Amino acid sequence: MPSTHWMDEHAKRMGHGPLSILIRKLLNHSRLSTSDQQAIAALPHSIKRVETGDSILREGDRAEICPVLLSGFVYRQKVAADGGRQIVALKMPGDALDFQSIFLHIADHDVRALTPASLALVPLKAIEELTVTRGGIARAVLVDILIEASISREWLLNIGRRNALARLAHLLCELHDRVNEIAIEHTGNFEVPLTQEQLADLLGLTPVHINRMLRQLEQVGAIGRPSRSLTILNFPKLAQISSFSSTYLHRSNFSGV
Amino acid sequence: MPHYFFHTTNGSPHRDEDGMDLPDIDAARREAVRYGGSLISDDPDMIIREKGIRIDLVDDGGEHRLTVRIVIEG
Repeated sequence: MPSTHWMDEHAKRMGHGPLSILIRKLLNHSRLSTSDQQAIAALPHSIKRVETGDSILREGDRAEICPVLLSGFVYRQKVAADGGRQIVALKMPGDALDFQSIFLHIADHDVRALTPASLALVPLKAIEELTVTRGGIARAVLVDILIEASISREWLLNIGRRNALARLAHLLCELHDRVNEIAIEHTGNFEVPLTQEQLADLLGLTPVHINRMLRQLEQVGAIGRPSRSLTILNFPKLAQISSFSSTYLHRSNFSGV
Repeated sequence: MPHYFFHTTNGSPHRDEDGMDLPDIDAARREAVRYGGSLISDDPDMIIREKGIRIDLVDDGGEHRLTVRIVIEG
């Protein structure tokens, strides 16, 4: 997986230490002055490693820290009374995992590691203070939360109204776009770190149905499945199958600053 | 956990090479029926065109355990 060195590369290029990747992520949608960037880089934090499946936040927790994902992938999930779970969001390197808890104090979902990951744990109080004193940072945090909400709306449409093949292809297009947005170099054939069971829990399909759709995408050359993994080979083909438009990802959203 | 395969014939044939782990045969039966429902809601045109679809549940010993048959008449 190409993700493991992203954090170090961003830190090297930007010279803002481990939180460089968060600054890079925020700059993808918001303008931040040099002094705003320095203020983010100077946030107190400690580094923590987590392994696949580890819990990062539990529903009902009262959060004191906001983890920032430095490398690896994590997901948000909600679980029904009968144990059925729905994966409701995927987070990429550079993403802050809990801006929400600056304003809402009890976690309403679980956050878990999809792959081995490293996190910078930042006290929520420290982020809140920056949002109070620095308008540019307050705006960037708000825009980040709004874009996550926009992605959630697209996922609702995806699960509710697209057929299985388009639904799967659409998710793969989104992941491809979001990874390339934060990766240092174009990641080429991006390997998707999701199992068939996880794809089923994310897309509201049965694992067997996912398997069937993966086979179809493989047959048209859109994806490869070397040794049971899943690699995106042909983004234009996936975009055509799912009528993908990236408007909802709101890149380069710089007006009004 | 036991492993089960879900093959489809007519409709659009798909031999399930990967299969999946499920706690027991009851869970596998439910999964087969759910899969059928999922295929019907996903691609009704295919079901109409092919006059139905058949799902065969096979356990990891190769033994046939259940058939779900969806039939279109008329």
